Amino acid sequence: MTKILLVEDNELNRDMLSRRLARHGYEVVMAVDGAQGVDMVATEQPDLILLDMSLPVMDGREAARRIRQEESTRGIPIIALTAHAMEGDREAAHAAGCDDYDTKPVELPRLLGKMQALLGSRP
Amino acid sequence: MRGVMLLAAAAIVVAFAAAIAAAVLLVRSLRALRALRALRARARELEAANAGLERACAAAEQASEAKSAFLANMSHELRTPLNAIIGYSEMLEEEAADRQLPALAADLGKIRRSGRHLLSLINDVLDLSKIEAGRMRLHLEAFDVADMVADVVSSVQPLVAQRGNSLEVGCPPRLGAMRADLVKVRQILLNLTANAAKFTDRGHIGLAATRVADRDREWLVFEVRDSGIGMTAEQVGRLFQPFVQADESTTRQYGGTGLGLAISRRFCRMMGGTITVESEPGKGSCFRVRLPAAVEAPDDDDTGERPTGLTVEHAALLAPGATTVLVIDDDPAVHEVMQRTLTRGGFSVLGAASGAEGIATAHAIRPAVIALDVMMPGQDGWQVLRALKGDPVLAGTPVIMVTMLDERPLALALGAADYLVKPIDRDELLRAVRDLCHVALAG
Repeated sequence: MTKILLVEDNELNRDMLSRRLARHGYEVVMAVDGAQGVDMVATEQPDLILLDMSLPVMDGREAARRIRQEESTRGIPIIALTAHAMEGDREAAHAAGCDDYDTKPVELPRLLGKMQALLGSRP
Repeated sequence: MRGVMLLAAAAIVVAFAAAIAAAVLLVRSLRALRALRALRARARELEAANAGLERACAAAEQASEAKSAFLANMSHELRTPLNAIIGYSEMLEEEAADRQLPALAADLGKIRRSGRHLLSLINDVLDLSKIEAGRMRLHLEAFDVADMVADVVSSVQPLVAQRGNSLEVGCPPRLGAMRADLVKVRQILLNLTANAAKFTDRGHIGLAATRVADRDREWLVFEVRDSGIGMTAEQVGRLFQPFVQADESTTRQYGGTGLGLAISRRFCRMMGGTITVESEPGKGSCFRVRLPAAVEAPDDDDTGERPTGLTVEHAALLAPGATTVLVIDDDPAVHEVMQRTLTRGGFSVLGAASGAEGIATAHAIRPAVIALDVMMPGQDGWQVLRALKGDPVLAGTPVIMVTMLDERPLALALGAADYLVKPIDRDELLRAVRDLCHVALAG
């Protein structure tokens, strides 16, 4: 089963998105802040990471940079999630090493499309 | 004795005169002193007033910044619970569909759609407040125009299908790249195509892009055309104002924020472009967006409109003896239409982008007829008309008022010779100009 790590601090968003992804056949593991997210990437070795950009303890950009620096987690695709298409957010997410970008509220079919595109391209 | 008395009298007179002179001098210097004091006091008052104004200015700037920051935070705070409302209703909708509960799914769909609508309202309000606060920035990048159009088409396709409309895309190959704010250009086109889809039932919607060269610059022109309900000239006149839709019943029937077009127009202006509309009730509408192929980064101190049309320097190029029409309008698209129409009718056309420029040009070239737009930033058409009619050199030059609204009596009362309503009918324009030229020649 494809394993997704969802890093999201808002409890409702976490609950909602994890259940919806589970309905579509994904195994979902969750982290509530950036630091926990970075740790769990190493221990869980997920197939894909959904990373909220505004997180407590360590923000999403910093977390993405760390995941990219680490040899064992470097190749895992990351989709950045932000609350609003703020100008500069897209560039910032790409600069931090995220593969794609989506805005909240998540439109599930669109997000699933982006996830499949990244998962499909993996060897 | 008589001599002594005379001398004494003379001395008294001299003493009196001296005393009076001294008194006058004293009064004068006292007055001067008082005036000087008053001046000093006034200077101090002015200084104090200046300092007060500076403080007030700083306070106003601070308040404006605080307002913008508040709006940004507020909209973030509003979005978070809204995320949950939209997400859970979407989730339950899927669940209800899986469990064969169509009535429940339909109601959940209503919650989801209302949530999405509320979200778009919040996004629009935030955008508009940012523009007004001068905090909306351009992020210029080069991108492929055809790719961007394809992206817009795929986003808007479901909306187009909803009312049984067909969408025709006219995007010639080798349209190439443009340099602009990708997100904003996409948002403008999304707004316009979504509007077209909203106001059209089982009809046609067209989205076309072309590259044109004009005035030493390359432009991209995007046209969004529909066969929908259309608008009257009066409705068109109010169209680009924030929170205004064609009329209130439109809002009830079609929803929407009424901010999309106001935002689109401001985005166009930020990029040095324009957005214009032609519409006919019952027949449909055509919105035309014109953007420079290479948008220039804005100067911080200059957000004003670019000058349009021909200028006085071109007057020398005019055919001698040709009848000249001066067009005063801030919208380059109007210049384009008028120039094309009138040139074909055998007239020379000169353009001015503002009232002040127009009056100066009129003095320089003495046109046969002036076509004057009413709605211009700064000095509006009515003010310009008053200035023209009050000018001994130009008072006799016939003026055609060109406006969105039907204000014929006002125009004629202020001395206008004729009156045209936008969108401009080409035949009517030619007829009006010809009529006035005959009068001018005969008189």
